[in-house]
Amino acid sequence: MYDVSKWPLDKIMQLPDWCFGQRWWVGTYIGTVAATVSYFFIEESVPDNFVLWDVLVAVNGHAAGTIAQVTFRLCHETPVSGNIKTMRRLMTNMSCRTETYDIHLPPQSVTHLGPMRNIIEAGNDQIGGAVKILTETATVENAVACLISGIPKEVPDWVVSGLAGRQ
Amino acid sequence: MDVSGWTVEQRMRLPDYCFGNRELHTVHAEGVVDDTYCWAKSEVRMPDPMCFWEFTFYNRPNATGKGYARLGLADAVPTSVAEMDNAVEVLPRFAFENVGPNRIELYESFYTTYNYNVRKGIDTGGKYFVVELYTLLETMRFNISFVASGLPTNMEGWLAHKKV
Repeated sequence: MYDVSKWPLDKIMQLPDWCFGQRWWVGTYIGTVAATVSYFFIEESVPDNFVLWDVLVAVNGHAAGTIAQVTFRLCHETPVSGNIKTMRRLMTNMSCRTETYDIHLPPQSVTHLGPMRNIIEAGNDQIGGAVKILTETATVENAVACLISGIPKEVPDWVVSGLAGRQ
Repeated sequence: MDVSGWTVEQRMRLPDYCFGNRELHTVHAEGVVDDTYCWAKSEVRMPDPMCFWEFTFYNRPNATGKGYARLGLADAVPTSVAEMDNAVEVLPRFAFENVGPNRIELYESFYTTYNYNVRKGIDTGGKYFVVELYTLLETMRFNISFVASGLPTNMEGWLAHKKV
């Protein structure tokens, strides 16, 4: 096996998808919570550096004229209103960065955001965030999940020794 | 191996994984008054050149809402229809006929989600991704998410100098 653990992350990200090995969903059920904001925290630990391949948001709002607002954060505990804005965003290129929420979705939907291939430098943090369904007063149930993998530390020798493309 | 001198067309023929990190971007626009236009831009400037991998947009009319959205590239948030007309087209052949550059009709449907696969290399000039939302009948919210990456500039020889 060829050691790639010292490679910079951008070079590692140029390895073929299958070098990243297993991917798994980490997520959490959010509910049943009426109105206001539902804060969530995904209990599973994540690697210090991981690849985010997909994001799923399932929301179930019923109110008229409503919209689901979501944000994902890197954190070590369940966010609360007083600290969520100071927590790092999981994805940093999202619109409305000056606000709490950066994802705006139809209120009754199961949405995949992606597929992407986004290296996340989580450090010791895990994934948390908040869901808010505007003007919702009923009790609703929601769920979020992220498809993640670690990054390769070693790959078969032939991956980097030039076998690719040989006759 | 330095491939930065390769043309966009040449680099687009490399395997997907050569493009490395692919990130999700969003642009969110809200038209809160009937018969109005609103504009929004991405949070960051786009890589130049960039690979536009796919996009999804979410349409959320209040009840019987109708309108349209347009996509483009610009140096700042457009403030008029004319400025949006001048935005660089992202998908020149995508528009409905006779309705302006990159226009996407948003019909009278609730919670509509459209997803398109692309994989297109674009010379962005480092501009922002911008959208225009027009609300014909009522309040409408519009969100577009898209996945983008840069194009490979440097990569291992084994990726390129054999018969890949």
